[in-house]
Amino acid sequence: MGRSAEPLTESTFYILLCLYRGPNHGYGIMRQTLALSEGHVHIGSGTMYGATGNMMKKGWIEEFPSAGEDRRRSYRLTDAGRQVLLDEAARLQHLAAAAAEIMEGGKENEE
Amino acid sequence: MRNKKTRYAFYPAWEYRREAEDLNALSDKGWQLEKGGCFRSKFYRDESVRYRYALDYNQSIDDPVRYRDTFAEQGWEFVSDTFNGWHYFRKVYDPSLPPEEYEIYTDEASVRDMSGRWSRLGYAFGVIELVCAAMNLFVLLRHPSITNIAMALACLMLGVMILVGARRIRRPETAGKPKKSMGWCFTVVFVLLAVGLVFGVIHSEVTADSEYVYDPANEPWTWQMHISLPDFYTLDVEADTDAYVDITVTNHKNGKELAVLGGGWDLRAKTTMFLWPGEYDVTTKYAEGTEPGTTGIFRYEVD
Repeated sequence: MGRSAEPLTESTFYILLCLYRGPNHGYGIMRQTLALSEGHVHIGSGTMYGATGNMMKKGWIEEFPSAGEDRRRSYRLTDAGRQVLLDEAARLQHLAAAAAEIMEGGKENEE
Repeated sequence: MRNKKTRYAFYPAWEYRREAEDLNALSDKGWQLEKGGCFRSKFYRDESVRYRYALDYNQSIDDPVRYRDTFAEQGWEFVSDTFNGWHYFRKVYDPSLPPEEYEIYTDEASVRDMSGRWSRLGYAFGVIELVCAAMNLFVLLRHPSITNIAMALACLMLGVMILVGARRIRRPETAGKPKKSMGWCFTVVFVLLAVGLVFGVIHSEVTADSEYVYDPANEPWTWQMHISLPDFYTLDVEADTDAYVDITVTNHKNGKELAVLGGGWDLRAKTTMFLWPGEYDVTTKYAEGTEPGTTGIFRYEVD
């Protein structure tokens, strides 16, 4: 269930993130990713199929039938997937903090 | 005006993006894809709509329903697939949408995954072709003929091209649309294969296989050989005679001697020569000053 030490791709990270607050279907994930990334990250269908398939194999997400009339497939996070997302978010926060420390310090030096 | 058409155009696997662009251009002209293929595609006429096409390569889809549903969610309509794992999708074209809407692989990792699926197969196939080329070369050295030259060249060219293609498809910046199309190389391969086949079939017609029983009354014995195709020919002669004998091949028209096989009492000899179309004489000759043989059996093969 463990994850590799490699950073997640942007698409993988956004898919996990879009499932954090609850189940979502492929189209919903794509729209929400587009909104969160301010239009920068578009997840195409081929990328979506491959990424969701990989994550299901790794046990990070699982598919379940949508309720009612909605025939679209929904995905939800597993505990392992939630942990992967939290770890990655922490890693990114750490990177951003490190960058901020150096770059903001750099600005001070310039001034 | 016709409502259907079949188009024959060849696209190597590593030029799948070029193929999609050609399908887009045809759609703009009112020809909509009905069934796609890298050799032959079928279209129907509909000027009321414009589509944008995308080709996916995936030969091992574990969940075909989920696969098509994932594409349908974003407006991709499944058109057709091929036996070897190519899937054709289309989406109604809306010029106001950004180009990313018409991409199915939107990050480098997934482009690499897709091209990796094909290139693994490509590398294996390329190596097999090179092994075939080496085998053909071995046959060629033992038995030269235009067919064998054409086959060895075709295998060599195909192998090198597929290896180059498998390398090209792996580069995300050129995946599916290299700057220079290699379609023409395949035309050369097809021409070589056609030449090999045609020469092989015609050549087999001149193949002669015969047995000759020596008859002193017919001495010197001559067999006339008709060649209708310029190629390499191998004359394989076996003679069992009690006199010293040479066998010569001469051009019937000008009497020029082309080959001498010989000589001896127990003759078994082989020669390969390039012959232009025409008549040739294969003649037995007893050496000067020796007694002509009294009996002999000749077997000769021209191939």
